[in-house]
Amino acid sequence: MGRIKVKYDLLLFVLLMVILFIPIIQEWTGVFPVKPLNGVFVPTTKPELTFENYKTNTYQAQIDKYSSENFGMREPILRLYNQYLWDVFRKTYVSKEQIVFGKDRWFYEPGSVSDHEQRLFRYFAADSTQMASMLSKEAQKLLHLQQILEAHGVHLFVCLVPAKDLIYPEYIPENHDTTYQGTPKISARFYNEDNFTRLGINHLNLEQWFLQIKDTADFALFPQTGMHWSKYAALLSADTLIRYMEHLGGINMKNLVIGPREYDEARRPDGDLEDLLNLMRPVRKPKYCYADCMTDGDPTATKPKIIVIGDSFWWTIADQLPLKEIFSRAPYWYYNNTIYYDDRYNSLDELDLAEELLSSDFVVLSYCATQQYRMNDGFTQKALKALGVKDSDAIMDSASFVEREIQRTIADILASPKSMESIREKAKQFNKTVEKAVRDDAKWIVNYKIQNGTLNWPKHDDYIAMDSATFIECEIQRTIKSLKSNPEAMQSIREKATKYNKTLDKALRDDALWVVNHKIQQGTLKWPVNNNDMNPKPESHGIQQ
Amino acid sequence: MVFSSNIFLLYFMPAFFLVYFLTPRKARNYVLLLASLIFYAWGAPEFIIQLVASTVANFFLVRWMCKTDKKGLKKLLCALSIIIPLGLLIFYKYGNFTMENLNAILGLTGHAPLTWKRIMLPIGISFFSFQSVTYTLDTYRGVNKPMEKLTDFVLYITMFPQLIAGPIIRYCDVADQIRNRESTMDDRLHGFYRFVIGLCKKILIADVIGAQVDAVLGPANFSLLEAWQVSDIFTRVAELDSTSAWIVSLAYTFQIYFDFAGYSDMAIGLGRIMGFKFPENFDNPYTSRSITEFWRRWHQTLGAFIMNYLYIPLGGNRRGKGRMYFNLWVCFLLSGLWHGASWNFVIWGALHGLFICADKLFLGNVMKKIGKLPSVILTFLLVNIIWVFFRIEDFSLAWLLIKRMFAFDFALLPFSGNVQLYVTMIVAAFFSFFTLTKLGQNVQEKVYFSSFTNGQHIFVWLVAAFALVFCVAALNASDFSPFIYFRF
Repeated sequence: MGRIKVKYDLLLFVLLMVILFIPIIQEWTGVFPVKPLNGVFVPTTKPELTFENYKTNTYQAQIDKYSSENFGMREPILRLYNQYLWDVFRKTYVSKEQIVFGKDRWFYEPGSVSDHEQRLFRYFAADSTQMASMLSKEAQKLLHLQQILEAHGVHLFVCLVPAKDLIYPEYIPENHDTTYQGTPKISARFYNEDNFTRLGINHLNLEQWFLQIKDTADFALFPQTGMHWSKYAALLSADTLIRYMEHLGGINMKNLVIGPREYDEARRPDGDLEDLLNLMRPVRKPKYCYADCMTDGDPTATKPKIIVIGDSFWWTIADQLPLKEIFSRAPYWYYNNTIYYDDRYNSLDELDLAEELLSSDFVVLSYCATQQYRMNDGFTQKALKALGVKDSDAIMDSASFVEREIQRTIADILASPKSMESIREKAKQFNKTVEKAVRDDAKWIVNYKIQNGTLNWPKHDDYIAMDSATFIECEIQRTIKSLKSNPEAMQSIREKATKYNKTLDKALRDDALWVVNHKIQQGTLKWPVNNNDMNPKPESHGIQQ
Repeated sequence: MVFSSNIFLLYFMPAFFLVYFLTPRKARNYVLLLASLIFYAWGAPEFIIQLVASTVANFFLVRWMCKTDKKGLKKLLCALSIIIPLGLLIFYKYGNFTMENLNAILGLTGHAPLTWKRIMLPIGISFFSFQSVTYTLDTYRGVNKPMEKLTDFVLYITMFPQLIAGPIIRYCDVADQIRNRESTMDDRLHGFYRFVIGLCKKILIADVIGAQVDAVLGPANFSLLEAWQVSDIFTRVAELDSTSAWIVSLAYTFQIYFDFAGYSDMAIGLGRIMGFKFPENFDNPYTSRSITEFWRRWHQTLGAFIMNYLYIPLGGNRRGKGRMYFNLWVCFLLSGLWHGASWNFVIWGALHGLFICADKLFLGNVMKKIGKLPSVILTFLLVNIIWVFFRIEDFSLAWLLIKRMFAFDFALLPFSGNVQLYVTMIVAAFFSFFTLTKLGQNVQEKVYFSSFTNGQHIFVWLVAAFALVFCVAALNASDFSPFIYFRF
């Protein structure tokens, strides 16, 4: 008995020593195959041992950090502990910064949830007013860039990529973070959509489209444990994007053809948030749809050159689409920082930006809602500069220009005692405040100048980005002026006014409106640079199968 | 270097034990000595020379002291041998404290403050200074003979398992083991189990709970914080509901026990692997029925040191009751100051001294009369409240936390229902009190002190090996927080 026990003790002790040495052996030799940990991080460099470093304890601290990232068997050991934390406490160490755990084991990226609550802006601006102003300014610059590129036959458009919180808000946890109580709130996604529509910036709002098809789509548009759209949704979106490009450029492009579908557990990047947990077994095992994507090989189709400036959502499209069959070139300017093309990465700094842009057919800005605060990572500003716009910060839209004119006029009125005397009387008469009366007067003066064509509009070069609505209004006013100076036309309008029981002004405006509409329909209206009032609602044309 | 670090667990410990056990028995002390010096030099490179120099000086002073027959010289050498380690302790540990207080007095009297360069506290100085003192005094008293070999003495002082945080080992307890010790396979395995138990206490309980304590109370020492950070801590504490305030204080009560007891377990375990039998340092202190009993169970080696080298020399209870109370109170005041150079430790020690005197006067009898469980609960709550002064250096903040504890505005599940905190505290409470039952005592006796059958060894070994891996994972998991992809 004693003899056997001694042997057992010895065996266990030897085994203990072996266990203690496994990390060192693995670190030196990598003899045991281990599944690497998911995610990216900045690795600690191996510190240099110097007497000074050692004496000040710097080396010791650095080597401890380094060893924590490099010791052998780290991967399975960390997975084991993460699995424990997840199973027992439903938490992991990455959770705070990277993942919001939603209901029914749905995961969200924290920024997406913050944006859902319209408080993400606070990471980019001091308050919502400043954020709104920044977004407006960016939109004005973008409009101007669009107009310049259009003049060179390059179509710029923004693809508003869906974010998970808008499409699947039902799984967002309640009270996940109530630290921000400030008001008012703002979300770039809605603000940009409004701005783009108002200014006539080409844009394809996939979010709205996703909402429409969410309940009828065959498969989830977002994986339950991922932050990016599902591969399936990315394919649908790619098809829509191609249709939109055809529409915008008036060209025929190849159609996507989807190969046989496979149903499988999440493949990368589907479930990318779950990957970050680095668990031993999956959180859940839903089936996703995967398929090879080809084209119909239409020989008559145009292969445009596109540039995509965007965030990580585009990877899912780039990874699946036969880009070279559809486009003659399709470099991906990842966060406007690194160019990815032909499986190579290059710095954007090495490019002749103007040449690159002007030699393209399409420039696509593809950012999801949470990334729209990044203002295209400075692309607009850089591009404008490259295209010869000296001071892009001076760019404003026509509404802003008109407002500036009103402010100037107010200043003039305030400086004139005579005018002020008259305005005070008006204010008293119409029971207004003096401030309101001054502004009303200024507005009337500016409107009068617009109607008479005497407002000194800045030249449409590198200064103003006039939106299409304002331009049309200017055209209407010009037409009214022209009609007024034509006695025959005026006689006819008077008759119409009597016949249809309208005021003369109303009849005059209706006639002018008709004339302008007619010009638009006939294509004879002379737009300042190019017609950009073309934002048809996105629609799926169906993928050929 | 600390035990709960990658460098120790993954590199130092395996390499040391491999070399140690491959070395012939006679030379193992040299391996241990070298490893101990490397261990200390890793964490306190600037102090290693002083440590070795003062130890060598003490060795020769004590030898001289033993050889001389002149009583006066003997006393002088004894005093010198005590002054060297205690002088270093006072200089390094209380230098800053003394200067800060001196400057405060100068400020109050309208004088300009003195400037001085802040002194870094060498790790473990409180422990090895006391060990050095025990050697001198025990040798002086004739309890033991002086060491013959210098290397053995340096090993006694610097032995890495107990160098940083004890237990404080009296020379007489370990002298024979240094010269001659047996390390059976059973010892090695039991040592390993004990080490892992300590590691679990430290990493899986103390560190987890401590994270929440730190999140509320900030670091123990405010000297490195900006004014706004201190203000934030005050605001946080002021806004605590009573439940949260109690949770924070209880969390710290468990944290300090499992941290310290865990470290002692690791030290005892490492020692046992090599054949050393270090004295126990903790005996379920939170099951005590009085503060007096608490001190018989908490940091027992410090208690023994204070009893043998301070309380008894001061006269103990031999000079009347009044003197005894005074002696007790002084001992605990100094014990508080030994724990840290700050007034909050003095308050902590003074309060313990006060309650020990109260025990002797009347409280002990009251506790006996109210029964076991109520007295254990009351003592635990008292200890818990007094720990607040130990944890928080700033008296006004400590008082604020105590006020919040007794504000009686309780809330349900604060700290956002931090399940891990609650579960860990329940586990901590279980292991703090489970020896109140006979079954608990038997389990502890079995795990810590009994021999195992083969089957038990295999089972416990597997559990311990898994726990070791798990602790290494816990130690490293919090540092790994990757991103999905690079964002510029």
